[in-house]
Amino acid sequence: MSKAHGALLVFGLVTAIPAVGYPCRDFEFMTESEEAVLIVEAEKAFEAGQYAKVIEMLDNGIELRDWRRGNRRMELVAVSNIRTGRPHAGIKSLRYLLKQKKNDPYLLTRLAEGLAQTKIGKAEAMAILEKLEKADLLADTQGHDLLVRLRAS
Amino acid sequence: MLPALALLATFECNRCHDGVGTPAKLEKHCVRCHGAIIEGSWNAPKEMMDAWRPNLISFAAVPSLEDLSGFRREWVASFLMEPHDLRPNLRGMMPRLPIDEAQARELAAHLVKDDRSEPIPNFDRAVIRRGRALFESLQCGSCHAYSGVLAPKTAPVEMTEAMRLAPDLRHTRERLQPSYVRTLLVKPRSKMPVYNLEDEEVGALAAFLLAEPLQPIDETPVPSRLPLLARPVSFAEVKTEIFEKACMHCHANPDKSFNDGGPGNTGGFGYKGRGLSFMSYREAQSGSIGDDGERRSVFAKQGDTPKVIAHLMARYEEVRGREVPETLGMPMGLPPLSLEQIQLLESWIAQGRPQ
Repeated sequence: MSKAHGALLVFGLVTAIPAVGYPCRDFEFMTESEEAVLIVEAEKAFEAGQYAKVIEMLDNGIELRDWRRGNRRMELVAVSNIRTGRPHAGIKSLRYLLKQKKNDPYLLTRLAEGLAQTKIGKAEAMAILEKLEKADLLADTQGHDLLVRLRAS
Repeated sequence: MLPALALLATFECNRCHDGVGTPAKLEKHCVRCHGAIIEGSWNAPKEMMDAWRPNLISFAAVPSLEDLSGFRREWVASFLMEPHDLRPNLRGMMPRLPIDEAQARELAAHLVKDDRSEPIPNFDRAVIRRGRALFESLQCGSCHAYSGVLAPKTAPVEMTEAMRLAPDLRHTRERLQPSYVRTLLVKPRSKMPVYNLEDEEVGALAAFLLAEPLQPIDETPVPSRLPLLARPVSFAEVKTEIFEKACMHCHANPDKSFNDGGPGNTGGFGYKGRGLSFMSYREAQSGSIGDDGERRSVFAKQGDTPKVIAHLMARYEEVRGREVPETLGMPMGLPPLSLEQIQLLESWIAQGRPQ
């Protein structure tokens, strides 16, 4: 798909009918908003480990109407960048998101994952993960595994 | 102190009740939203509503708070501070609010405009007996519990809204002015049937409700937690059996629910937002935000009990009329989780919370 077609598609997505609010649970999988569908599909690709696909789907610079979806996109792209060997871009985005979600354990764990790939970030990565571990807030097994590797290195 | 209207907004009484100002938006209104799903009028695919409907046994009905003029203000204030199961046929019940006595009195004064306090008349024993006979012949007990007087009945499988809202009559004498009890028997406020009673029958029934001696209620002891499971417990099982059934409605991710993560996440019912979501592994792992702004794991131990388990067990105390200091019973406003559900969650925690 050309960039022009992509831009048109995304323009169509962001101007779609707004979804109704679903405060109780995650109902975005059934929303009418194609903007939401795009993020949900990208999250599925992320869960499947298809990080390059996530970047292809989302890293297009188009502003999403819903800022929270914008944040979800930024997070997905950031972590996908880290996991495809581009940690610096991911680190920058995660630091930005952490200003909004202060001390979010998942974002901190992913930030450590990115920092651990850089020459100067390993000590900071270790400090982040050890603090999370001490508070029993490490986000997942990847975080635990990374901490073990950093300690061993 | 905040004026009553601000208190109504703070405690979000309009999430459930009518008669307390502008109703909450549909998607924030626990009862109307569930009602719309039950009716099939909600904005969701039919097959999804069909799947959800059998589970919608909570918040299916709620009393309006419009015109509580026959209520006792003192009782309303005490109920706001120490809510208990007033309507045994209704699964949901009034949640425990972070309300102090002054606020409760302010709200009660707003809801009950008339501050009279009628004494309970002295009734002749024969009149009370006559009332009891009428109560039985009219089969009032098919909808109403009268604990401490009549043996509890099994709730009917199919229930109308009137049956769901039927209060336990044990509380009548402290809830309502005696003259209002008579009024309700003649002209019911809710969907209770009209019986066209004679004046003498009204008097006898009122006497039975207001003056029949109440026996203490046998309290079942709080059960003990079950031993940990030996078999492996997965996160998927915990999510399906516990988080999705009991937690996610109030502890959701605001990024996926239009900025409203529910009372347990973005705040509500007067509670501060705690940022706690049970929608995914990473969110459950992320803990909740304390008063100091720091996140803490909900699985950390308090003594020998993980914090989240302490909250679930505290609900067993709350439904017996006892608050556990510093530990809000969960799920709020609903019956406790089963011991088997708690066992499942505790076993998963003890196994290291496998992802």
